[in-house]
Amino acid sequence: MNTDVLRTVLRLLVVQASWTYERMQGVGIGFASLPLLERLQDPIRRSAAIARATEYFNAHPYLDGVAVGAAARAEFDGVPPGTIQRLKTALAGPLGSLGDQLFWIGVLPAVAAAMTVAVVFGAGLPAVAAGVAAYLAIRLYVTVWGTRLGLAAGLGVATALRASRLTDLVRRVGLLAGVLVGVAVPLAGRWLAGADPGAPGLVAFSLGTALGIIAALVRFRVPTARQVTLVVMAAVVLWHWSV
Amino acid sequence: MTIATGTVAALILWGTVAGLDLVSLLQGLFSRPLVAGAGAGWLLGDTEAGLRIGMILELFALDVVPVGSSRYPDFGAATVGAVILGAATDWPVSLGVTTVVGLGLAMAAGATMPLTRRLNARVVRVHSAGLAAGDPAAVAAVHLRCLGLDLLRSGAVAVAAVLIGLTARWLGLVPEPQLGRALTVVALGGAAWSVAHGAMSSGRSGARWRYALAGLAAGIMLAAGR
Repeated sequence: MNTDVLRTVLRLLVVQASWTYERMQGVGIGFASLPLLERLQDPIRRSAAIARATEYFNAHPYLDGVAVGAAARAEFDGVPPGTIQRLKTALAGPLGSLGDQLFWIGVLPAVAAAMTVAVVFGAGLPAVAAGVAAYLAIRLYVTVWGTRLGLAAGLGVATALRASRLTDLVRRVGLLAGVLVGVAVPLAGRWLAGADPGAPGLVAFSLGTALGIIAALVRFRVPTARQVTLVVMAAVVLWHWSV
Repeated sequence: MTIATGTVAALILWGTVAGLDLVSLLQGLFSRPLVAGAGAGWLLGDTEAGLRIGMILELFALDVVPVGSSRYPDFGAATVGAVILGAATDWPVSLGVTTVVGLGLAMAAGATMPLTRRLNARVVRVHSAGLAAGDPAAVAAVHLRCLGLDLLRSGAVAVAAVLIGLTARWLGLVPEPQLGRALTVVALGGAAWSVAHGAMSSGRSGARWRYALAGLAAGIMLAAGR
């Protein structure tokens, strides 16, 4: 990996620091793109490319490298500005959706559930450290992979993304996360509630699991479990003080 | 248990790292309750308390998808504050009240994110001419200042969480056993509701739903055999 790509990858690790409601990740994308766009010799083209890079953009942060690389490659190739803007606009939605599916509801819950299971089985702190190391390795790999893919493909990045079978990976990781979270929940309940099968905590945990599943299945618009828990706890405290 | 000044400083630093990780830096797992709790427990010399408190808050956090402009809780430093309260206590009694502290702090800390984003927008406006002109120095200045703002936010949230944890500990907020156990029961029910809702909401229309239920069945058998 050359120095410019390495610097871009490192900057992509802080891409959301300047997130705003107006430009969303725009300035962060511009900041990450700088090491690549500085290769442009013509100062007018370079300034225009940097200004374009800082405009509105939003996708999943781990996959931003795809857009950064593809836009930079298009700038090197002298693609018209309007086409580059359309490329970024076209990439934002799919990269956001793919990333959310793959990471926020795939890899992240899978790793969290795996750590939970390992902790329940007595692996303790090393299990948590291993989970963090594995997750960071995946995060870094995807950032490097995405930036390289974008740089290599330029305007053809959509075809390159399809050829990468990322969509298939999303499905597989989603299923893995489903299994792992499913396994982790009863184990966590048993560990947190204590060993006695008749313990009130275990009963509450089982009831909560059933209610959570039902609420999700019927799409019942209720307050979050966080809010409900805090309200019920307040009621318990008031009841306790009143008797 | 007395907590040394050096440990307090380390907890604030750990909470700050967790806060930065939420959005600005890495977005690795440092802001996750299980990780933040394990680290805080280790720093306090009670890793098991950190893991238990981190795990119950993690079950709540698994119902949160941190997408774009949505508002979500900041569990990192909040978990650190909760672990300070719960370290070296009888966990079946303290798990409920530490969950209250963790959830409350996480929701309050999450409310600081929109404020930081509005401050970011102000920095962008100040440098808008430089950004429009494609000035690399302006781009770098905006981004690094915004990173600095989130460092300040995360640091302030961490200081507040640690102080609240220490104050709650000093005030003896861990309740008497009967009330403490009742709160723990409620916390367990809420955590289970949260994680089950999160798992089913993200997979209710596809094969993932069936896989999650199969995993649940396997988990019940494993738990019953332990």
